[in-house]
Amino acid sequence: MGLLDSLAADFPPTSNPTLGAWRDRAFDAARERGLPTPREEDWKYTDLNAAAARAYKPAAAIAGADSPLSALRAYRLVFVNGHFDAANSDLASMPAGISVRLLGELARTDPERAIAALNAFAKPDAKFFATLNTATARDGAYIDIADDCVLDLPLLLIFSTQSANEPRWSAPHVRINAGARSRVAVIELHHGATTVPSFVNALTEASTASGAVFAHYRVTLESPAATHIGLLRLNVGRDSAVTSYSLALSGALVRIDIDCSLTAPGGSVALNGVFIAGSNQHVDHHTKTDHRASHTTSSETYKGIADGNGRGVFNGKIIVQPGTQKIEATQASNNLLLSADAEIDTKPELEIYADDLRCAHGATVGQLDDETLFYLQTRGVPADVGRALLTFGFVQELVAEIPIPELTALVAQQLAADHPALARLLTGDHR
Amino acid sequence: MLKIENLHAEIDGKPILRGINLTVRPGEVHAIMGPNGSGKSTLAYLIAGRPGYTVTQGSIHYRDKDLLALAPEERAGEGVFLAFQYPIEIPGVNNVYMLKAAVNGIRKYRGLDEVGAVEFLNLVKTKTKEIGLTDNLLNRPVNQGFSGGEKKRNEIFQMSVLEPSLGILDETDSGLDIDALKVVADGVNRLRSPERAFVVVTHYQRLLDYIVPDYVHVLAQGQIVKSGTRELALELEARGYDWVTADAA
Amino acid sequence: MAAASSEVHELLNRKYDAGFYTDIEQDQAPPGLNEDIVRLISSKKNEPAWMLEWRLRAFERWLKMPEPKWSHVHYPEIDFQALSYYSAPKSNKDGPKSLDEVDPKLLEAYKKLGIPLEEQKMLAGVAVDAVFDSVSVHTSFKDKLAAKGVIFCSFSEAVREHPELVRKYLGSVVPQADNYYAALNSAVFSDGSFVYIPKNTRCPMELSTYFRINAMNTGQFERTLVIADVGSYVSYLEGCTAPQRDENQLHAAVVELIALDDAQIKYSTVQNWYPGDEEGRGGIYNFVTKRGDCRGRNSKISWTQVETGSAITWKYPSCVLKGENSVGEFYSVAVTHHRQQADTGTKMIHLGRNTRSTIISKGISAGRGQNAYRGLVRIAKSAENARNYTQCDSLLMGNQCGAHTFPYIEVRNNTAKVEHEASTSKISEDQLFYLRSRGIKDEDAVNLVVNGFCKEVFKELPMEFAVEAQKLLSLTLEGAVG
Repeated sequence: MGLLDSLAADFPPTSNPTLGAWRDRAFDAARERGLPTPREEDWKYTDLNAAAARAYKPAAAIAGADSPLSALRAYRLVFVNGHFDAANSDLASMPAGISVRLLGELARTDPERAIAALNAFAKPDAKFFATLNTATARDGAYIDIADDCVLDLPLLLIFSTQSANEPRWSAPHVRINAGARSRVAVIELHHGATTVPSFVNALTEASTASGAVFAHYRVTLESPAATHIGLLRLNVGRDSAVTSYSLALSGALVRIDIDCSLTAPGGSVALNGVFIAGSNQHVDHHTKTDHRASHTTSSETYKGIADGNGRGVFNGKIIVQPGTQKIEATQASNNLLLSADAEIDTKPELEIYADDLRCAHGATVGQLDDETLFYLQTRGVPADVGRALLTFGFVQELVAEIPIPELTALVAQQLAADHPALARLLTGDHR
Repeated sequence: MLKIENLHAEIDGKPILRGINLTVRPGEVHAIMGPNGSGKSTLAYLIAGRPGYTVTQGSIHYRDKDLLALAPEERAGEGVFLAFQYPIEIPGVNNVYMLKAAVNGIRKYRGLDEVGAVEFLNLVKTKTKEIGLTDNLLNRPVNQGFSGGEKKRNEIFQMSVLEPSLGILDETDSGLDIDALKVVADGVNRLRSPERAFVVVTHYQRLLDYIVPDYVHVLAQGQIVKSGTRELALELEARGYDWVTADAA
Repeated sequence: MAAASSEVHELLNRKYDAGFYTDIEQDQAPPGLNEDIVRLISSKKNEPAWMLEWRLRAFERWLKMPEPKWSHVHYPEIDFQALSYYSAPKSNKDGPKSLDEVDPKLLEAYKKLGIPLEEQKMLAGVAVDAVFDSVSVHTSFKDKLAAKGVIFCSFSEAVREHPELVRKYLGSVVPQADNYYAALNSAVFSDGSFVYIPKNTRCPMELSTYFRINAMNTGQFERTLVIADVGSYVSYLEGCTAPQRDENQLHAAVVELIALDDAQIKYSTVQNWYPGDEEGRGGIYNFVTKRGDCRGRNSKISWTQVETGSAITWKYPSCVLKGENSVGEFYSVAVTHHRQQADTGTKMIHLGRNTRSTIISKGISAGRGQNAYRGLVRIAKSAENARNYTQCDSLLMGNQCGAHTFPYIEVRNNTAKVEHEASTSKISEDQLFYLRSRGIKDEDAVNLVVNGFCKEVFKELPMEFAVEAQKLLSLTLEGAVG
């Protein structure tokens, strides 16, 4: 029994027939569309066959355990195995200007509003995993940020997967509406603490209103056997500035789609990402930046590392729609291949239907620079330390701009796990 | 302490050095001069151990150790330091991290314990003041966005932290204004001691007004064609290289 | 530039220069494609049995293949049964022995195109093979080439005279079932050029083929095979034109290049098939498979193309870098104006050690033209120390056109170094203004800027081709800025 059959067999029971029927329809739509295969251009380099051959079971929540970022000062919302974990969350003490509703709660108390909330995710051309998420989501958060709300601390959403024995399926989703002129940072941490090959199908949609400054940090820190499919949709409003970081640090098969629409003049977006594909890891990012309005700008930098027999994939598409003017878009995909068995596939794309613009992209794939390594060696730095340092420097260049040191540290920790030499070096704060 | 005997080296099958002999004793400063393409930088690189060169004949011994058999970082551990003509920019790696890795790498090579974070920072602070490097530069990625003068100053700063017994300066003076040149020279002069030696590779004698050499050698077409004292450098400045290099051809 | 609008309007309405039709008696097969047509083509050309069998195998495969749909171009369904697969000038049945035997109307046609068929006019020393519709009508300078052992003849002749070479290399670079159009070509190819450069020989002159589609409702399916034996060098030029018609015509050629140890092939194309009119009526569908095989050590294959014509261009001249130290190059200028569409680029497949490739692509989009660069750089696990540098630039002239870039980069060896850069921008108003303020006419200013943009590619073309390419470019872009 594979993925879809096991989900159909274990479909979330619901007391409300209307909601049940809605989910059935969504599930049937996903089934009819069928699991993506490498024959589709968007899945050319990523094969879900092995992951989809397993049977997964949704889980009841179990008590929250420690997760990374436990020391970070933030407003927390914690989900375990797709269920809201009230005990470890700050739901009751959210700051003024932040309102949170939960899908699980709505489904019990107000099914009509639950359906309305689910419908909001539906798009005529929705991707398979977006549809599957809305069909199978047990819980999720709908967050409204009031106009002019400025948060002192980030909102931290933790999605943790725990299982002692069975492969778990979880499909959490989040919708965020950032009000006009609001300034908020959201951290979305996906964390696995299990050796069981679980499957996470996460969906987040964020829209910003006029003048909002919104930062989204997506951290994928799944357990070594996990499959993680993450979708992030960003709608950038007028004069709004959005920053997105995707830090994909672990997981067996990680696929993250970031679809960003710039829908009103003055909007800007920075899409940044770091991925580390170590041994037995496959990390695939697909980003799409759609310039639908004039006077919009985008910049994108992705840094990928493939080591061991790991494989990293990057596909970044910039679209400039007909009739738009004064567009600026840049994109860079830089990749390090650290071992003979690693692979990088990168495809930076431009699709341009207007002329008053400046667009550029670049991609590089290579190994650490010999000359630079020699320079370090002449200073007495041993070759292995030098390599670790340069690997760290490669991502640090981008990560150093994140204003939340705890996130920067997560990246460093992950690299240090692979490079013991780095671990020693990074102890003590020399920043 | 440094003994180079009949050194022949080539790159991609093309001979660059054709029988270099050079002996440097503790406390001495040797200047290596010569026209472009004479092999000056190659000699500096060979002492430091840059990959890509093939030594076809001869040897380099440092304190009776076969330097050519050692990795670049082992040579640094032995006390050799090369100040690069074009210091490398390393995005994302800040100066302090690199120096800490260097100091600890060298200490480990010498069988010493790694230096503690506080002790290390104190050392760095002291040296920073001496060289007049701003904290701002110290905490930036190695050489990235540095001006030419800042890069050279950073090389001298690293040298003063690592305190090598043999410092090799590869055209450290090129592209420097007179103030920056003085800073570089001060850094070197401060390190001069009876135990320490320097090999100063330069195209112009200007630097030698500030770092006064004990010996001056002229390199041409991969060989030392003339050796002398300080006066040789002055003569070269007055008469150019042709009169010495003509003999080599 | 409103003041200049009448002038621009006039330029816009200027006709496609090569759009005349030559009224020659044609020997044409009835429309439709089936096994009998394949047999008919083969028998018309007096082919040996092995050639017919090869064609029939390809036809069988083609029948089973689906028409590809992945490119970034749009066109109505092609009815492969409505096309005629063979058309030849009648007087030419047995092939001309000398220029005197060639139909004078044909010579007139080539004269209009400025093609130097008559040897005395060939100051530059270019040997020419001319393919009119489906058959080769004339190959010049044959004797001089033969003295060096160089074989340069029509494909039909090669099948008859050099079967051992044809059998050895045909389909060895582009297999029959490589893609839909390659399979179709393999079944019904009519003629084309064949080149063999013997060991350690530098071909004494540039070799050139001019292709011309004349007849109506015919498809043109040429086959070109160039073999550079050990230590040899050849520069090969290819030009294409077609008359102006309201119907679309299909051109599905296959070009195979083979470079053995230390051999070099330089292949240059100036493609000026009829592009259709301003509204997109008519024009050639140019669906071509071109691939070079750097089979030997230190071999080099260099593609240069200037694509100004065709309603739709769909081609990826590629290099398979098998030999150690082999080098692949691709230099391309592709222009789309009015309703033209182009999806073109290259594939560099690195298999051998120390293989290097360079890709320079310049796309120019004007009017409602759509121009896509699509490229693949693949570094296989076996390709130690492989290097690739890619630069793709797009220039936009007008706000209704499109410029697209789809580079695929696949690296499976960590000693490789791959760099890709791309940019897209509008033709610079500042530059145009600067030039015009110096007294340069607006269209000349555009030409200057565009030529500057394409310089890196033009300098790869042989001199006489470079001049032609620049002329074509300015003709194609007339009225593009207004």
